[in-house]
Amino acid sequence: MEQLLHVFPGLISFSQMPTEMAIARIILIFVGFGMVYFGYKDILEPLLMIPMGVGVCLVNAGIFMMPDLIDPSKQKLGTMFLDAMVQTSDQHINAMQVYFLQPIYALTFSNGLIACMVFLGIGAITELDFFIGNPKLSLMLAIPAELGTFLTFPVAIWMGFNPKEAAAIATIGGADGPMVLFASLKLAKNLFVPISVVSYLYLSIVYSGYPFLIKALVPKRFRGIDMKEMTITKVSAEEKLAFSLVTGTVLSLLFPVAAPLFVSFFLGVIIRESKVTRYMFFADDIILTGSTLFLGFILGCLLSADVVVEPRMMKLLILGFVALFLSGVGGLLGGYAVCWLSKGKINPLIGIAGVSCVPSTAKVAHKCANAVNEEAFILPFAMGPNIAGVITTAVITAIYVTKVQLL
Amino acid sequence: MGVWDAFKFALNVYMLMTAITILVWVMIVIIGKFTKKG
Repeated sequence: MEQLLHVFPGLISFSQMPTEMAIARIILIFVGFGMVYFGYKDILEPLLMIPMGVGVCLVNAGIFMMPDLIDPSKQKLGTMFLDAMVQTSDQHINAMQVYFLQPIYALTFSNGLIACMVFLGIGAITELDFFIGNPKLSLMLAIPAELGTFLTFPVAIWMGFNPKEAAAIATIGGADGPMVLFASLKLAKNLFVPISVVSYLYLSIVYSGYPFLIKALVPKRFRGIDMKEMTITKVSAEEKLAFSLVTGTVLSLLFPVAAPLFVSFFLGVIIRESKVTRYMFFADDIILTGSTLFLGFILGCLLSADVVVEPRMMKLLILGFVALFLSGVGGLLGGYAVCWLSKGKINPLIGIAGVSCVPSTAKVAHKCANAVNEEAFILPFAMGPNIAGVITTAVITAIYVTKVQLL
Repeated sequence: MGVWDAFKFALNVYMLMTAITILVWVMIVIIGKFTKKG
């Protein structure tokens, strides 16, 4: 029997690790199945959940005893996927010879390139009309929707995280995956994996979770406001192009540390507005699709049992929830404020679209309004604060990354 | 860093974000003056 087990080192690995790790591995394999299933059923975001779930299943199954790259005289439990712990250039080069995902991880994750590629693609599919057509309303709603990014920082400090880690965790409140990746890579590389995984897990359930918050906080008569009296101003491509170029330049001038994010997003927008169809196809169909696939898959492959049994994981799960809950509440409070200022013409639900999970939160706002009043078509109005939220999240992330390093 | 200091720091970050957001709005208004309407 023992000889037979040695033919299958993945099975034997369960007995070579602490019991809690072995149990966590089994649970994670089922979590991976769940991610794929709920992604397939469209309950969770399929673009991320399907590759992520596959990664979680396979990385927790394919563990065996192998030579340690850092100290080849020793053996350790590992996989053939990637090793996120390698530090020096030599270790990176050696790891690339062994782990099949190491080249992608080393060249796109360690330096934040993957976040920039996703941002470039998002820029290329972003329609700025609703935002530039009504910038005051859009930006006014995006500011309160950063409440979670603001208040989670002191809560994280209270829970024992250092300022850099707390700032990286607080960015989850902006509900913008690439931004969380960028901030955690810059500020808390030690917690990059758990923060990113928690962030993307929560972002994928925003679509099904926020409707409960909306129903709890907004009465039906407000949810059904149809906004028929509001109009959307037409914006020329020239204006959108000029805005992207000027804003990108000014923000990069103010926050050079976050310039890669700004340049990626506004380059995407400029490609779209320039109507260079080949670049548009490349940015959307190839860069965004490819980077989303590898982002989901590699994040899944990083979610191994040792990450889950990390003692601070539970705190991160709580803080991620707090951040997105507070941002949602802040967004709805902003929505109530503009509803009151417009004497009831504006549906307060568009406030939650200020939480910049493009376009999920705008769709949630529209879906909840439509469920109460079939004539309520608020999606175009919700897209304004949604895009404004991307900008405020990029700005607050840039400020955190810049200021926290000066502490 | 204490919790109160952390709150003041985060408030400072939030206020700065609000100021930059207003700057973005001003830029949109100025750009709108110099470009043709849709």
